[in-house]
Amino acid sequence: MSEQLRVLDELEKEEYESVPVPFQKLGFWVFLGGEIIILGGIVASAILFRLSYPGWFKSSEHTNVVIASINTMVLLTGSLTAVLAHKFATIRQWGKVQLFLGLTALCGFTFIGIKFIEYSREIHHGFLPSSGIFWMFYYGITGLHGLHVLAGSLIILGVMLFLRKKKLVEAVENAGLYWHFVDIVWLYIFPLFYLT
Amino acid sequence: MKVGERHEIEVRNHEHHHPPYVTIYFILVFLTFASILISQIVHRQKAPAYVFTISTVKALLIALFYMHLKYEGRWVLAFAIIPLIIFALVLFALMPDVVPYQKM
Amino acid sequence: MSEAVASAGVIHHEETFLRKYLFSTDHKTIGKQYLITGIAMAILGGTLAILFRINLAHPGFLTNEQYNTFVTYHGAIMFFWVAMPILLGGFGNILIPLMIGARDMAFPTLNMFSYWVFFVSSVILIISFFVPGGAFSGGWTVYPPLSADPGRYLGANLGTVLFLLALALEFASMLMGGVNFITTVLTMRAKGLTLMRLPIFVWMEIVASLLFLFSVAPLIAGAIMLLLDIILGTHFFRVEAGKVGDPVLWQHLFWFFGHPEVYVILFPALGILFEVITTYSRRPVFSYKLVVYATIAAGILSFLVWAHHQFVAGINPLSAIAFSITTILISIPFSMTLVVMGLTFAGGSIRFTPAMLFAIFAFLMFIIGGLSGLPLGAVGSDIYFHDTYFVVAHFHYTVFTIAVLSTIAGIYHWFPKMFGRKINETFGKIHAWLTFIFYNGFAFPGFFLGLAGHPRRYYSALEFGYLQKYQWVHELMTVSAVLLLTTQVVFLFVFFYSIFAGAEEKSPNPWKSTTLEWLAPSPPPHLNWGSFAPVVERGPYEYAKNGKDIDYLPQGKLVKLKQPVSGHEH
Repeated sequence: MSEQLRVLDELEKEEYESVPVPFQKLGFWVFLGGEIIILGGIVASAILFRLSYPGWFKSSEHTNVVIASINTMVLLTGSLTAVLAHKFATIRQWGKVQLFLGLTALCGFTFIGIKFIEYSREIHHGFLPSSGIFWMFYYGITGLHGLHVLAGSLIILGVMLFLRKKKLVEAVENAGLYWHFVDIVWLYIFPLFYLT
Repeated sequence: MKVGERHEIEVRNHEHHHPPYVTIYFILVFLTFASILISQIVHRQKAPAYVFTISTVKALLIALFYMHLKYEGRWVLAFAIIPLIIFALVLFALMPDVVPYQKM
Repeated sequence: MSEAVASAGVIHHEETFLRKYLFSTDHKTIGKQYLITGIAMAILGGTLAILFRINLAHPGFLTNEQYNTFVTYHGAIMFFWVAMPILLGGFGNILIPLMIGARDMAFPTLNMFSYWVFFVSSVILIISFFVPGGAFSGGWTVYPPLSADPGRYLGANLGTVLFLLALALEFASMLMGGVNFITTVLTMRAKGLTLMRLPIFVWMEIVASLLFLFSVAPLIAGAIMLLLDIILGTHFFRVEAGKVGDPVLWQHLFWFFGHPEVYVILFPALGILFEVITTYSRRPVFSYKLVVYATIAAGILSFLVWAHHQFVAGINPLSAIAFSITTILISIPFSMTLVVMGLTFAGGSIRFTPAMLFAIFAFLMFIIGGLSGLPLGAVGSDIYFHDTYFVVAHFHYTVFTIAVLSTIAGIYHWFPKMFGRKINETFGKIHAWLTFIFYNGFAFPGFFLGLAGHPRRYYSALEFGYLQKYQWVHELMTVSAVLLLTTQVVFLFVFFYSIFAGAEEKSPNPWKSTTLEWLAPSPPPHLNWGSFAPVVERGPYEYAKNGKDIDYLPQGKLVKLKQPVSGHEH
C-alpha cells in the first residue's frame, strides 16, 4: 500500500488548501488543547475548594517542600533536554536527538520514583485520600499529574524507538510539547500544594 | 509513508527559531529558588500572590520559548489560548456557587 | 514517470479479511463500523425505552430498580452510543474526506484506533448492565451523592464504575476522532476549496468537534473525581459528617459539557439537513455566510448557558438570572439558521424523495422543539417545568427529531454513494410518514403532561392522585412508541437488504448534487479518487443556474494526475 501511496504523493505535488501549519503539529495542539482543560478542570475545582476551606494551609504544612523542589528541578531539566532534542532534530543530528530524548525519559522516571517515595512516606504518616479536603485534592491532582509524567516519558521512549524507522522532526517536537505541558501544570501544582 | 506525508516538504522548509534554551533554563531554576524562598519568609496571606506570579512567569517562559509559541501562527495560538479562556470561565462561573459555603 | 502515472489507476492490493473489513484504516470502512455499532446500540436503547414505557402504561411490568436502570441506560446510550457515533463517527468519517477532496483522514491509524476504543466502550457498557450489585441506575446525568456513595445508596457499585469507565472510553474515542476531523479539514482540502466554500455539513462537523473537545474536558475531570469518590473514599461530591463535598460542583461540571454536547449532536444533523434540502430543492443555501457565522456564534454561546439545567438545584440566584439571559439569547443564532433553512426551501422546485420528506419533518418538528425551549430557558417558568414531561417532550423534539430524522434522511441521501444501490422510494415515503405520525403520538402529549405538572422519571402515575387521570395518555404514548420502534426495525431490515440486493445505481451522482463526494465512483474505492484529483472551482451550492437540462454546477471536477500538477491544470 505504501508503494501506491508514494506514487500518488509524487503525482499530487500540488499541495492541499491548508492553514499554514504542518498537520502533525496542528493535530497535536488540538489534542493538547483538550488536555489543558482536563487538568485545568480538576485544578479549578481544587482552587474553588481551597477558597472555601480554611484548613487548607494547615494541611499543606505536612507536605515535604524539599522532595517537591527536587522534583521541580527534575521536570525543568527534562524540559531543557526535551527542547534540545528538538533543536538537534531540526539540524538532523539524530545521535544527539536520541541522547537528549533518553535523558528526558530518565528525568521522567526519576520524577515518578521520587513521587513513590513521597507517597509512601505520607501514607505511612496516615495521610490518605480520604483524610480530608486537602488530601483528596493532593492525591487526586498530583496522582493524575504523575500519570501524565509517566505518559510523557513513555511517549518520549516511543519516539526514540520510532526514530529508528523514520526520522520525523515533528515527532520529536510533539513529544517535547507534551513534556512541556506537563511541566507547566506542575509549576502551578507545586505552589498550590507545597508552598502556600 | 502515509497519505499526508506531502507535508514533509513543507516541514523541511519550515523556519526553526531557537532561542537560548540553556540561558532560559537557568532563569527558570533561579525563579524556582526565588519562589520557594518567598513562600517561606513572606506572610502566608501574601505569599500566594508572589508565588503564583512567579509560576506564571515561568510558565510563559516555557510556553513562549520551549514550546515555541512566540513563533507560531494564529491557529496554533488559538488552541493554546482558548483552553485557558475556558479554564478561567469554569473557575469564575462556578465561584458564586461553590465558594460561599464554608467547608469543614 | 508518465508510465507510472498511467498505470497508477485505481489502487488494488491484497488485504486480508481482517485488514480490509475489521482493522481498516480507510475512513469509509471506519465510518460504516461506527454506523453499524451505533445502529445496534440504537436498537438496544430503543428497546429499553419500550420496556419502561410499557411499565408506564401498565405499572408493575418492571421492578423499581429495573425501571430506573432502563431510564438511565436509555438516556446514556442514545446520547453517547447512538447519536454521537452515528453523526460524528459515522457520517463524519465517511463524508468529510470525500467532501473536501482528500483521500483519507490526516491520521488514519488513529482513526481506526478510535473506532475500536469506541467498540470496547460499548462492550463495557453492556457488561455493566449485568454485573453483580446491579447496573447503574442513577440517571444518565450521574448526579452524586446518589452515584458517589458506595454502600449508602443503591446507585453506586461495580456497575457504576464500569458505566463511568465506558463513558470515559467513549469520550476518548470521540476526542481522537475530533482531533482527526479538525486537522484534516484545516490541512487537507482540495485545491480551490477555501474555508468559505466548504459544504455546510463539513463546517458543522468541525464546530461540533471543537465544541466537544473544549466542553468534555471539565467533565472528564469531574468523572475522575467521582471515580475517586467511589473507589478511594474521597469526598469531592459526597456529603457526610465532617467531610463536606459539593454535589452541585458535579452538576456544573456535567452540564458545562452537557449543554455544548447537545449542539455537538445538533450541528452535524443540521449539516445533513442543509445538504439534503439544497439537493432536493435545487436551491443554494439562502445565506451561506449567515449560517456559518450563526453556527460559530451559537457554538461560543453554548459555553455560557449550561446552568439552565440547574435552575432549581440551589444555585446562586444571580447566576440563574445570568444564565437565563444567555439561554434566551442563544435562540437567536438558531432562529437565524432555521430561517435560512426555511428560505432555502421556499421557491425551490422540491422533489419529495424520502430524504427530503424526513428533512422537512425534521425541520418542522425541530421548530416545535426549539420553541418549547423558551419556557424552559426563562428561569421563572422553568421552576414549574423543570423535571416534568415538558422537558422530556422538549428534548425529544429537538434531539430525537434532529438526530434520528436527519440520520435517516442522510442514509437515504448518501446510500447510493456508499453502496452503489438504492433504497426503494415508495417504502421510504411510507417510512417517513409513519415515523412522523408515531413520533408525534409518542412525544407531543408530553407537553400537556408537563403543563399538568407530571414529573419525569416517575415509575408510575397511578401512585399519585392528581396524575391518575392521565394514565390514558401514557397508554397512548406507549402504543405510539412501540409502533415507532417497529417502523424503524422494518426500515433496518430494508436498509440491510438494500445494501446487498437493492436496485443498482451505477451513476455517481443520481441526485444531481453539487458537492465533491458525488464526483467519486459509487462506492468510492480505497483512497477515493484513483488517479484523479478533485479541483474546486466554485461554492458548494450552485443550483438553479442557467441551462434547461442542467440546473446545477458541480462544486469541482476531477483532474487527471500528470507529472507535475501545476496550479493552471484544467
